[in-house]
Amino acid sequence: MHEFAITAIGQDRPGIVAGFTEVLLALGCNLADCSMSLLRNEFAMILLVESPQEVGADRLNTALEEPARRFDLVVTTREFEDVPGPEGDVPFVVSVYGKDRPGIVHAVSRALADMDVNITDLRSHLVGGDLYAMILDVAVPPALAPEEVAARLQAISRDLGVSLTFRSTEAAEL
Amino acid sequence: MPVRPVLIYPHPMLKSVAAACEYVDDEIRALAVDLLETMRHYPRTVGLAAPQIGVPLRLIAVDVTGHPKATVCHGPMVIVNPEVVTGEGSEIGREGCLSLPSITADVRRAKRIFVKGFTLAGDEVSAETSGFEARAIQHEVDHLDGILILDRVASPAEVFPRRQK
Repeated sequence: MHEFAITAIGQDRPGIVAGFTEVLLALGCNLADCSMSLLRNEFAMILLVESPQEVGADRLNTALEEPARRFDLVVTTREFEDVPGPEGDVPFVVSVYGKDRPGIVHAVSRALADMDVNITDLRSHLVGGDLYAMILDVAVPPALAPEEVAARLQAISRDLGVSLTFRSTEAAEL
Repeated sequence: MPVRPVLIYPHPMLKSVAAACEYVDDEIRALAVDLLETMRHYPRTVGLAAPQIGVPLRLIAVDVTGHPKATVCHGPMVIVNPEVVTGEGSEIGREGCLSLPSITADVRRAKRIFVKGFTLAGDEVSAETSGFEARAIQHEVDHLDGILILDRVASPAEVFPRRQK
């Protein structure tokens, strides 16, 4: 078995997912994790796919040329190996919002990177003309005090003139 | 047998409606002990329903004692044939489930609830609660009706994969 990470992006229209996955199914591939989103009118897909041993990169790329042409998609494929991630990270969510200006994502992500805090999900929207809103899921290493991360982020949000909240999303077991 | 194995989805019992307990007898009381002990065996676990340990009866255990998110706490509770009347308000919170160990999900629950049922002595009992304790009770009562957190999420962005412990 091979594992591929496939991305595809193009102008949205009905039928992209059906047309694209039809080709993967015909190759005998199985879809594992997928994320697909529509931003304005651009539809983007990330698919982690398990392919049979005899379906390598060349066969996969050749087969995907047809739906790429039909739907005018930019497609990339990359073979990857599943490696275990870090253990014990604590999940937090960060909301950042305020008047739009260049550099908000960069300042927040730079600060997180400097503290070795990993971003696991990020969504942002520019709405109503100039309100910028960004929500991030982050993983704080167990050795790092959440208060320290919160204080650092608050200092940055003051510099940027935006609002920021940092809160735990650790789930209780039920 | 105190700590019992917890059923993992897709076990069919997790998607079935549990039967009401007809009597509160020694068998039910023994089941309640196992339910509490199994719940306490797992870290950060604040509730468990009988179907999760393989018994298709309407019995739940909840204990939010000492949990940082708990604003109201009735201590350890076992409720036989629990019924929930949802009250005012709703809020979204992240929930994990021992029966769906590889995800957590954001679920909208009523903020305030009124719960009634029977104690292990067979007496009628009722309580009003809110916040995290109300969330835990609503989650457990859902188990009695074969409803899991994946049945409650409003959008795919509300489901989060996590590493198996």
